Amino acid sequence: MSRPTHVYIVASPRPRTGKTLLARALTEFYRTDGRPVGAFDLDTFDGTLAQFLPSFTVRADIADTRGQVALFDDLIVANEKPKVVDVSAHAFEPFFKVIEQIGFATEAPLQSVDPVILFATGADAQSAKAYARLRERFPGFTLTPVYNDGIVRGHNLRDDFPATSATALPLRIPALSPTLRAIVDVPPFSFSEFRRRPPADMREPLGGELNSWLRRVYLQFREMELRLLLSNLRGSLKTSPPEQPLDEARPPA
Amino acid sequence: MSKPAVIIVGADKGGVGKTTVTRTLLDYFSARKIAIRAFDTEAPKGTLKRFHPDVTDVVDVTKIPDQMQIFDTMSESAVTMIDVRAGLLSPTLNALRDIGFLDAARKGQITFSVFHILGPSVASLDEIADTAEHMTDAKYFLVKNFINNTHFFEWDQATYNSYFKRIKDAIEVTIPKLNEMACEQVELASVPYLSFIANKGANGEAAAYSFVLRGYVRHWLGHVWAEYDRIRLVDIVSPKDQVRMQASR
Repeated sequence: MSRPTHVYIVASPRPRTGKTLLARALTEFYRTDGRPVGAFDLDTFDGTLAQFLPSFTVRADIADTRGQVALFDDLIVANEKPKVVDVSAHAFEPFFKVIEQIGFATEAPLQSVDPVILFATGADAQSAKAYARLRERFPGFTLTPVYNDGIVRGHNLRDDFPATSATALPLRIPALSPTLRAIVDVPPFSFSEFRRRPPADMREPLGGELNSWLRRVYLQFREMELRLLLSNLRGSLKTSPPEQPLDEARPPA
Repeated sequence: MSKPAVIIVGADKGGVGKTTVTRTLLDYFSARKIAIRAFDTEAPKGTLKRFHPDVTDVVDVTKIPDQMQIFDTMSESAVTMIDVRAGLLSPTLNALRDIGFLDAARKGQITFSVFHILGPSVASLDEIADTAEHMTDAKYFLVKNFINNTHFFEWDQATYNSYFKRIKDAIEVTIPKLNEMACEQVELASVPYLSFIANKGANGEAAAYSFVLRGYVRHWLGHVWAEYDRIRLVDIVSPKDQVRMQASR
């Protein structure tokens, strides 16, 4: 049985909710493991994700048909290569509108493509409302709330972003210290490069903090991937035809 | 024998999307398994024939042998569709009157419909008045075609209404805009909209059209067909053919 192709849509209707940090970490999680991964940056202004991961990030303008073709014609290909889409705040509504118009939600399961929305939560009413709307609009997508401790700052938002299924358990991104942020938020800092060869000028406590942060985040990604694979497996067992007895399954010799 | 239906798609102006509308109609009927044939009056090249070669013949509707080819063989299909070249709508209707076709429609021997594609200019409204005199026994559909991003800016609603109301039972149909790049790609592919959506080439072979553009065409064609369902277009097909159509579904 072939594995489904996971398409991670990192989204929020609000800016500065930690979307790009999440998209970077997820893309580099696959890269660290040596697995193929694709990344798409829909931010036409800064293109921050593309600045960090220029060699394998495609920039696409969702307002332009050519950009839509570059993005969705790749996302719909079931090649078992995970893809991460960083949907900037200004692209949020146009992106989901295009998904509806081109029938992506209907076609994805037919092509063994599994869309997962990683919703970067915030303590504002707009985010909670957008999350509820996505649940209604895309019931077939896995909708996972992501709490970034540096953004949420102690607010309990679980009631505003209820988990939609056992597969979509929330992710929690720990806060990075301001000193560490000042390092990792400057392109072309790369998490996988850091793990391979920590920068000589990075002091030990900071290196230890970042390693700990990456371990906690990557562990959650690994668990999320396992939950998705189990869910896909359960789904395929449900839809498989009942096994035939051997003598009925084979034509007589 | 079931009663044949004849649909004329025309306008007195060029470039208003007659062939586009004809193509959506051909797809609509073929998806419902209704036997259909089409005549393209754009002799000698025939744009419609490029997209639907299996069911289309190119004819010159002003010539008697071609008129015989169209009207003497109407019973061979449930629906006969004629894509009338720009400027020939009024002459074609005159020719139909002269050969007794309109009389046959009056007597109920034929179901006759006209899809009149309107352009954005006021001159287009004058065409309605010219056409109206032939429409007493036909279903008359006035089509506002937005596929080319047409803006009906020259129209004053009161003026339009005064023309519209001159024709008893005229029905307005709106064709929405199709994404420009999707429109271009279907033109390049030279296949019916349905084949494009199904990612098939002209001979049914697998093609490699963009998923996004196919999605736009599917979405758009869905809206167009919803309009045809709203105006109960299948009602022009004889009850016998409708039963056959339902059985084949």
